[in-house]
Amino acid sequence: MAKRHIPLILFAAGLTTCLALDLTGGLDPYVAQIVIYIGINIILTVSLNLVNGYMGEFSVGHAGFMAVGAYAAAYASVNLLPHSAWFFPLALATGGICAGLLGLLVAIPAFRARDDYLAIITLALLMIVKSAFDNLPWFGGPQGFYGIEKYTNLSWVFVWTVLSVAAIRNIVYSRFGRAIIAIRDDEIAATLVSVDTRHTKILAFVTSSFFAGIAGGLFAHVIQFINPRTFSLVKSTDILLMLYLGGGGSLAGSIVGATIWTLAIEFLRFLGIWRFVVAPVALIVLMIYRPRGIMGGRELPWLVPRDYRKE
Amino acid sequence: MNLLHVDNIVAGYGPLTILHGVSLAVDEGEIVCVLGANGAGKSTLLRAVSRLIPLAAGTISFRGKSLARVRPHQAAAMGISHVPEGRGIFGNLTVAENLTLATFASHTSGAPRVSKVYETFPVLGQRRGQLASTLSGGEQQMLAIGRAIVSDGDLFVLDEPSMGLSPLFVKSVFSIISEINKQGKTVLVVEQNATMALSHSHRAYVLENGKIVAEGTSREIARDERIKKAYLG
Repeated sequence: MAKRHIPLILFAAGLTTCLALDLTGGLDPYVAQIVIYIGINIILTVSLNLVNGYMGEFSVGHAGFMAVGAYAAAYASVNLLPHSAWFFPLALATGGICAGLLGLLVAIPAFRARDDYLAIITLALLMIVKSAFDNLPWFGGPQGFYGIEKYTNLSWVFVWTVLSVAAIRNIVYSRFGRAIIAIRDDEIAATLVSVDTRHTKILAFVTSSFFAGIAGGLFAHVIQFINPRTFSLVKSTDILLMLYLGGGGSLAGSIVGATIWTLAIEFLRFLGIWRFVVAPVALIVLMIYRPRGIMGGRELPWLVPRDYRKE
Repeated sequence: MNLLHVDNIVAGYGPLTILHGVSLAVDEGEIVCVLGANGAGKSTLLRAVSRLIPLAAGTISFRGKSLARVRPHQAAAMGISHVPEGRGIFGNLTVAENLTLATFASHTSGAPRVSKVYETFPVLGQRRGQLASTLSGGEQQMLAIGRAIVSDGDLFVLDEPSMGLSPLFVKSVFSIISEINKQGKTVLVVEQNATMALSHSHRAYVLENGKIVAEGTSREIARDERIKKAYLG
């Protein structure tokens, strides 16, 4: 058996397990729900990592793109598409594409100036998105959007999580991804070696938004009810926390950060409202002793393409 | 036709004008140096040439084509290889990745030129898999010049290549510049180390407060009493 088939076999095994658990209901629904949240959070964190970690920009609007993905996917699956789980991927794609288009709309002006103010622009975007869903007539306003089928299950989350991590990995280790890292290190020098930095930044931002939209679609179809408050700045902050907990510029960091944070919030439930004090304090302590996150920018070897490992 | 023709340019940063009508010309195959004290506008001149800063007036043309509407990454793709002040190394990429990124616009691997760089700078070859941030200052300067070699531009624009290097290293950097020139590349270099720059260039300009105050062959400039006093000590 060739070594290069191992990821494929692991993927098949993982998917088979998820399918079996979904069909038999062999996993406690509460546990399954947590696993699904972990997967969604990994997608959110890995995609934000492309912009905030690898490219070194600072976006705080990830929850906004997640919101657009959630609403668009939910609207598609409730009002536009036949009510069948078979059309779920189409609903998700709608969410991802809408979020990606919004990303393009934001990125074009945001990366126009040399000194960009991405943090402020994405903060404004988050507010606009939230008030749009509060006020537009088609999405239920502040009461939220009801009646979403529960299409998200372990298998879909597994497939999309693997797909997102694989896609971001392939981007990061491509020529385009190397240009993204060059921009973080020295933007002017990147320009001087003929990298179109504006174009590169826009493309990275749109990719990141697309996957946030996918995560939003998955989220809407597990929680079955979304309202604008769900996608506030607190949600964006959560994603930022998971990213910097694991460490920017590392895929393994995003996976570890998202997993630990999701579990911590769950296990600290007995603390009631105090968990939102304890968890951030724990994060501050971590930042003092490990300022570059748990992984410190390093990568697990199996997340690095083969021809990079040799060097 | 000059390879590079800078005609009466006015440029600066926002409301601050640094260059007050600078003109210079570089012919194919030349090494031209621009001398000047700190703050004379040397780096600003190079940044204008590679289109990093806009022009308030005047024109720059490269191979007879106006650079007025050219963006910096396009200027790089057209063949202007600017090695910036402070080298502009990508510390989170390996030495090899730093070099291959120089072919970004041309979509080629640049492999033959990368191996040529390893021949010219054997130490870079030994460290090809190492992150560029782990290189010493001198090695980073080699990498920056190596990147320009890989990009295969016709005009090398070098901003103070001797900065922060030991005297011995400065010598070898300049002999590499001469070597690159012999292989057919044109060089525009800005330097504070006037002795070194004048002995390795064909022609020189002297920049003072954003204006060219003297120009001539490097030999003439080196003999000029005023310049001797001001720059050669």
